[in-house]
Amino acid sequence: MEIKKVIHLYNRFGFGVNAADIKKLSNISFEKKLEKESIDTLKIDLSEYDGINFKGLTENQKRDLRKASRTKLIELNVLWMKQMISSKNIVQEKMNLFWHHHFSCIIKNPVYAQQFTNIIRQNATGDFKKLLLEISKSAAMIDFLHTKQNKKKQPNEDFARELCELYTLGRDQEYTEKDIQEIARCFTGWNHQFSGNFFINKKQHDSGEKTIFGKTGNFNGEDVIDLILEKKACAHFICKNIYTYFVNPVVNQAHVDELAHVFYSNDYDIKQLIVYIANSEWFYADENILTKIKSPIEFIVGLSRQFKIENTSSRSWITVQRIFSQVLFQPPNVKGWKVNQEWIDSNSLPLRLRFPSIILSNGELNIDPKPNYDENPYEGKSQNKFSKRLGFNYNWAYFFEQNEGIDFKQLFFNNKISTQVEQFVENRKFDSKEEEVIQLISFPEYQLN
Amino acid sequence: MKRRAFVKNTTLGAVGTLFIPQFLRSMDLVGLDKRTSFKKLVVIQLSGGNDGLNTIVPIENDIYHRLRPKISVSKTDTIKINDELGFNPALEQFNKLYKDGLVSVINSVGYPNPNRSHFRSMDIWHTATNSNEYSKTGWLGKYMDAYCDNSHSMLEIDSQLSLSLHGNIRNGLAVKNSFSLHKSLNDNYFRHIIESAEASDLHEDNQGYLYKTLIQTNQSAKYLAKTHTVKDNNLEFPKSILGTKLGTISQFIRSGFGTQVYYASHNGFDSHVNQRKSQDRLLKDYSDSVYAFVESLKKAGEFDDTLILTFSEFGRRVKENGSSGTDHGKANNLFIIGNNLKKPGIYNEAADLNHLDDGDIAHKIDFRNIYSDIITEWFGKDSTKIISTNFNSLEII
Repeated sequence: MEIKKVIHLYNRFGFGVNAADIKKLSNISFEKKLEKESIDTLKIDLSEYDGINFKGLTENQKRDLRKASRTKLIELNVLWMKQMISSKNIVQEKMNLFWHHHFSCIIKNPVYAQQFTNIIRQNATGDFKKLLLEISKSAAMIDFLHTKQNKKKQPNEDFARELCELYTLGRDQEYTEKDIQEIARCFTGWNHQFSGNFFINKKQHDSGEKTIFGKTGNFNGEDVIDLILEKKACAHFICKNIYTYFVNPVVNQAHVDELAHVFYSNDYDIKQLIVYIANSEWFYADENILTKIKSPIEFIVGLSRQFKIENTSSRSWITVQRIFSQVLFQPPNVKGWKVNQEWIDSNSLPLRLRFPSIILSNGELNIDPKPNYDENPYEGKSQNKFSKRLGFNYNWAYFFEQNEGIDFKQLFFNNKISTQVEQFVENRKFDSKEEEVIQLISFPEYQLN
Repeated sequence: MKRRAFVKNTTLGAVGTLFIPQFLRSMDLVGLDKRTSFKKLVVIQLSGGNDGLNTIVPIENDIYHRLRPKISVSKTDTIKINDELGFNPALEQFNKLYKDGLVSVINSVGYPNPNRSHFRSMDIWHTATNSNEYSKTGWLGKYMDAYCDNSHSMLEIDSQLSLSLHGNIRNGLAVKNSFSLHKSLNDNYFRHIIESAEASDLHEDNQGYLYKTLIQTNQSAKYLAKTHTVKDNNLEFPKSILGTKLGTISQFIRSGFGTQVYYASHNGFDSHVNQRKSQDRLLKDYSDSVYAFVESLKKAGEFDDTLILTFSEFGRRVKENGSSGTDHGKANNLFIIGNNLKKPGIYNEAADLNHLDDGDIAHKIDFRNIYSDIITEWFGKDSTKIISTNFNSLEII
């Protein structure tokens, strides 16, 4: 594969590459790369949650547990960050991030967060049906979309609606309000134990006859998922999301139709779908190169992989995520994180452009995120409190070693760079190699991939 | 010659306005700058959940004193408002504004199905949605989308922008002062790329979008730096974070900024432990800062066009906890400060402690009703584009 294609492919199905990666990856097909990748689940020590009877706890014990949960969730978040930054299995990691974006779910409980992310991890390039079913049964989703409150006598439509609107079919695509009500009945009684294990509360389940999409039967939740997947509109909706995430924010209808056909006729096999994209000539067309605005996580992880950036405190990554408004496990709402141009405004852009130079000159970030609610504004010099805590290590030697002999304009921009920037680079004398690199990745173009 | 320039050049410049003859001063005040004739809103957010009961104290209420043996404010300590209520002693300066009829205290403000999480409840206040709905845009952001053209139409004095000021089409601008953004974009490197981008045709694609945003940001940055001409020492403001923020806003207003909404948060109200000490200090800071702010605007003739809204994401539990503090609660009091309020003073009856909602004050007035009044009665705009529920006017503003 030519260099240009390798860079583009792993910008999208990964977090960017260095020259050493390019050398290795140009010799193998995308399919082969996928085969070589292993599935990494996330595991932190959660033994303190074993055997807890939550209802039996006193108010104080509950408060302590909530406090411990916040710390554990941070631990899991940071582990995920490190995983994305250091893993060789970059396609998997990128797919994980995508499905977290797709199945947007705000999670506070670390046990449920670990369960949720591992469901995604185990199925990210597998069978979409299995992924969907397990997500629907996950404690995090049952809590977030109130499936727990969905009872025979008092149905709660929250999950039924988002299942159709956001996870499978798209708003008002081939379903009616009546369908939503009937689908909600099918999921009544779905519940989980404190441990996170799924169960169906038979007393709360409505086992009566339902009519969904014009078909009648004693459907349950699993049947609903089958009924939805039977619709080609579902394949279409997923492929449209995949297309705007991995190919181009502006949809090419013919290409999406093509993908939907592939996805549907291969029984929603995710791996075959992404291999098809990687093998399509149109994926590498000039109109698709360097046209996507990186999400903050893509931006930070890409930068960190390139320069081996490591956090020196557990808070560092959390603070960076907060500053850029993309916190893992905490999307803003059920619709998910922002996409594309939504990430860029007069507040975020200067910060994004400055970020690489700040991190790579002294590893300290002099910016305050919004304070936590329990911080005392009179204690210490709160202005500097964060920047002191927020340390990073970086490794220039590693960067130059891994990128020997490559043209940096190709490495960072795949040679798609505006003429005025081209002139700027040519006319300017840099004091050092480091300065040249910093200057390059401070261009607005570095926000694209 | 413009009159403002005349005043500046011919009289005293740096010495200040003290010695300017009265007739010149009054001319300086009445609309020398066209932009100052529009309405401005200043939002002060008390973050962390201010305990409204220890702010406006129900001095004669037995339930209050019984449920708070350690942290209640005694009647003799408070500054008397009426037979039932007294201000926390830290609110001495605030009381002056109150006595001048510039303050409306609205009790039991909240929303249905309240959420006791800081983050969630603050988001609900910011987005003005129902408590089970999630939104990416804030009520002021939506106002901007509908009625403003520039990102400097709304400024938050902070390094990060609150959800309130996020719109779909445009967002407000978070700045700590008028120069930091300008300074950060004013090095060789940024100057070059902004200038060359300005000189070239930008495409409609994402690359073009990035450069356009950069150019717009630079314009806003230049606007702030250029327009910020009033730079007194703000000696009358407290040296605290809030005092500095309000001092900055006062200078921006007096400089004739075209900004309609200013936003400042006052942090640290999450008083689970030893509440009296921490809350009283925060309240004194608030009281002194707001007083200085109002005085500075009055002197400049800007106060008539400025409305100040103070809110917190929730009030606190009526019963104190085991560590001389209070836990997260529900409805709370809220302040509106301005000249010509329709009903200055205590707007409605004090919180009903006989009928609590799971230990908390139940809400009687929906905060969105107040937002909606601000949009229609203060800004004179249609609120239905921003607040989905239709409310009758509370006749406050």
